[in-house]
Amino acid sequence: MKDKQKSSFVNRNRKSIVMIVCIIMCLITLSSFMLFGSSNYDGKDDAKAYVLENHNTETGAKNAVTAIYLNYRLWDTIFEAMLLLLSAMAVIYFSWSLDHEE
Amino acid sequence: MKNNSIIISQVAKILMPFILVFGLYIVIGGADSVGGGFQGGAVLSAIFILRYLISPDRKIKTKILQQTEKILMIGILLLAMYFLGTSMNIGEKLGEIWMIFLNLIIAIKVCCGLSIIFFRYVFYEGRKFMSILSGYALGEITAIIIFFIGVYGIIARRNIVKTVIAFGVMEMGVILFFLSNGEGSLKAPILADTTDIVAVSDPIPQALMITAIVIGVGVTAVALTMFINLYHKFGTTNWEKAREARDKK
Repeated sequence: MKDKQKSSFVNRNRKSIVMIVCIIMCLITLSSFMLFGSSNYDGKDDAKAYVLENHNTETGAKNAVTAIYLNYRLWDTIFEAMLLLLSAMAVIYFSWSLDHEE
Repeated sequence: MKNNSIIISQVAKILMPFILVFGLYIVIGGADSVGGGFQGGAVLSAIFILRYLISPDRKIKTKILQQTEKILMIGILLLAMYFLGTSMNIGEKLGEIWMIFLNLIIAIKVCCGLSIIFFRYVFYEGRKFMSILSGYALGEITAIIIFFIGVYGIIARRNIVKTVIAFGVMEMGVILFFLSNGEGSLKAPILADTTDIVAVSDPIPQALMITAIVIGVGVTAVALTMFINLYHKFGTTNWEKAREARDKK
């Protein structure tokens, strides 16, 4: 009986409990980000400096973003295109199995 | 921009008259078929953006655009108020010409507005406003809040579609976090001449987030298709009821 009451209380106030928990988690993340996370990597970010300095001579692209996703991280781009193909296959499969149910 | 790409500027020069004709066609044909003032105005504003790509050094006179937009806005408002007051139906008398006229006014207004927004970002906001904002890492804070809104949506809601939407919201939070974390720029990175600017946005998160966005679209599409399948099988949008129905089978 008591257990049932408790569960009904939880059920009734489920959304507000979840909201409070989410707000607490959000505040914890925000405070840790404000305290320890640094938003500016001035002078420390070697990859950024390297890419910005060498992308034109190494890849021939004037746009640094293009240089990254078509040269430095080409596999990422190719497999992303493959993932798009895979998701198209999944969509087709699911709508096919909808029509061909016994 | 000294190292302006020749290919882009020449192609833009060729495209410009076609875009003009296409935009006018959308505006004028809006009375009869698909199209209208807002859509045509959006197409027409591409001309101004292309002009920036052709010769970025030449400053455009945004003052004229602003004046035009203000005057047209007031004109449209006055027209509407006049007809509300007199309850006179001028549309019946003039017919299609009236519609084309209104569409043209709206198109020019929308075109001016979008161009002003674009040039504000290119010439002014990129230098002043963003540098103020970046000191407080507002982008990251917003991203974290958006992410936890998504978490709340996933935990608290039992609707399957709402779960998919919450997943998309979480994804947008992550993307915003990475983009604003790499942001140290005083100007847009793609169109900028980086020779005279010290701080540029980090290009690596930008390149990675392109893939993240595409993957997010794929995930959402597959999830929604699976939901449609599930709905046809069990006839419910609720997680718990779907599980019960599955266990019964």
